[in-house]
Amino acid sequence: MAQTIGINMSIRFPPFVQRLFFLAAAAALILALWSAMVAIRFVPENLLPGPAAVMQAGWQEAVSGRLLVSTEISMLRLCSGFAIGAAIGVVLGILMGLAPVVRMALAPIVELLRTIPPLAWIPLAIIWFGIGEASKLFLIALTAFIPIVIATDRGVKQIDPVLMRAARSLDVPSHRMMTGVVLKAAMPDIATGLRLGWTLSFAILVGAEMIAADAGIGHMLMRAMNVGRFDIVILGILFLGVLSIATDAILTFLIARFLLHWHMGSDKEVQ
Amino acid sequence: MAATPRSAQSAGAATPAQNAPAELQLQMRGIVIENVTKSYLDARNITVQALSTIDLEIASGEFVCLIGKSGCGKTTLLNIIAGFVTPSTGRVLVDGERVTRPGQGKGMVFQQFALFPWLTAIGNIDFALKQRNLDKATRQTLAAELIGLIGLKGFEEKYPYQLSGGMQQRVAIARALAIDPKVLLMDEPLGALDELTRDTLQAEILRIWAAHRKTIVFVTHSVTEAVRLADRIVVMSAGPGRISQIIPISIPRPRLRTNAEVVALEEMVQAALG
Ligand SMILES: Nc1ncnc2c1ncn2[C@@H]1O[C@H](COP(=O)(O)OP(=O)(O)O)[C@@H](O)[C@H]1O
Ligand SMILES: [Mg+2]
Repeated sequence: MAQTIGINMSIRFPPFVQRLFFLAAAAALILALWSAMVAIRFVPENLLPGPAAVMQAGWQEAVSGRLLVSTEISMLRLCSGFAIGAAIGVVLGILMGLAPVVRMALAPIVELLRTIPPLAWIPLAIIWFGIGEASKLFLIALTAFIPIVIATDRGVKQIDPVLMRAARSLDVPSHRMMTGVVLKAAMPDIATGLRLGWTLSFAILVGAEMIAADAGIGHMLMRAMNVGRFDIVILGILFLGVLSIATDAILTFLIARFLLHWHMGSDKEVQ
Repeated sequence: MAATPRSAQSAGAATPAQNAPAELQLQMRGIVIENVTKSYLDARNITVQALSTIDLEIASGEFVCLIGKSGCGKTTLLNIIAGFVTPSTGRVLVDGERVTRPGQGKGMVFQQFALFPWLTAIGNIDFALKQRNLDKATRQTLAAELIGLIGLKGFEEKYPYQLSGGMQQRVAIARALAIDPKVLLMDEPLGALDELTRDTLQAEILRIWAAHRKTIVFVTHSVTEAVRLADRIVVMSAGPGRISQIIPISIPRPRLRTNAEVVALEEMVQAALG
């Protein structure tokens, strides 16, 4: 009854719109500070180009096609390295979660690997694989692998034993048990691992490209610094931020749409 | 003859299944539990006897309720029949076939429903049908029939989290029936549901049982439930788990609580529980 009398006056935007609003506000604030710093000559103008100069550089890089080529190279590296790391991580994670022997063998290795900052692998990656694609793939795959294998193992361990019993009572053949039950039941944890793996891979991608590459966005940034094009350096930083947000949003969407569409949290429908 | 627990030690107590030649054993339908005991090792490696000698025969198509206080070994016994737990001694035959593992036509219904949350109602049923080497059209027909049987037309495409507890348990029952099981083993299947839903589902289970005549072993700790459902109530007691009494029921269904006979029987089962 109280519901019909009282009128809810507050206007509530969906969380997505709210997030976008705060993001825009933060961007505006940074833009204002940046312009102010340039205006008061906080650092010499050639070291800190203003927004207009950076936008102009962005236009040039985009029109020339250089930005697109760098982006393509970087994203291809990231996607293939991530796919390799994720595939190995999910398979080994499931084996660890199901077979105590595999866990005993692999857990200490994973435990050691996770303590090493991924950047520390760069020298070894160069020595082993050169500065070609292989070293980047190795670094990205390894970086993605670690959170994904840990999350998958955890997800499989946490599967409700009653669910496994239900499946076994239905005479499910073992290959369907893996793909149709274990993989699906562990998916909420695997999805968390995938997202974390993607973020970390993105970071190592840029690091690796700055140190050991002759193409890609990281390389573009590094070369711009060496030739004193600070407008391109800032452009690269901003572009990486946008790319990171965009790809993370895409990954989140793909997970919600194709991997976890059955999950309560991903339900948009109000019943 | 199955109305009293038999002692495996006494002479001549060998069951028909033991004496019959192999081909005859295969034809023997229903469940035979012979000389089954179960001991667990607890956390401090001390042997705990969960079940002392259990002998029980359940006829094909019979509805048996296992009742007893918590910890008396009902779940252990049901899991031994199901093949999830290996007995320390003795054996279980289902339709003459020795139980060595889960599956093999032993349908399970759990208190927690245990539906696959990534599959819709019909997806869960179809998952079970897929084990039967049927073509797609037959599977679709059977799935639609099962949905009708459990009264969930219109909810086929709902995911478990979109269904109420009672609806989820209906789907779980349909999924268990989808493998065309020889027996249906249910461990407190209505224990997680509210009073009203439990009442409705008891009637539904009786209706489904009447339609399919599956052998049902149904664990409960509710006297009312056991008296309403069972052909026979097997009363278990603890320390160590054993069958203390078997109560056959001949009152025709539906067994309303306005019937004095039903009330008297409830009191009797209550007394047997101690
Ligand atoms: N896996 C196990 N390990 C050790 N003890 C167990 C295990 N499962 C059951 N028990 C013990 O066996 C006894 C019977 O348990 P259970 O069959 O679950 O009883 P109920 O279902 O009647 O409540 C209890 O004392 C319980 O603690
Ligand atoms: Mg129990």
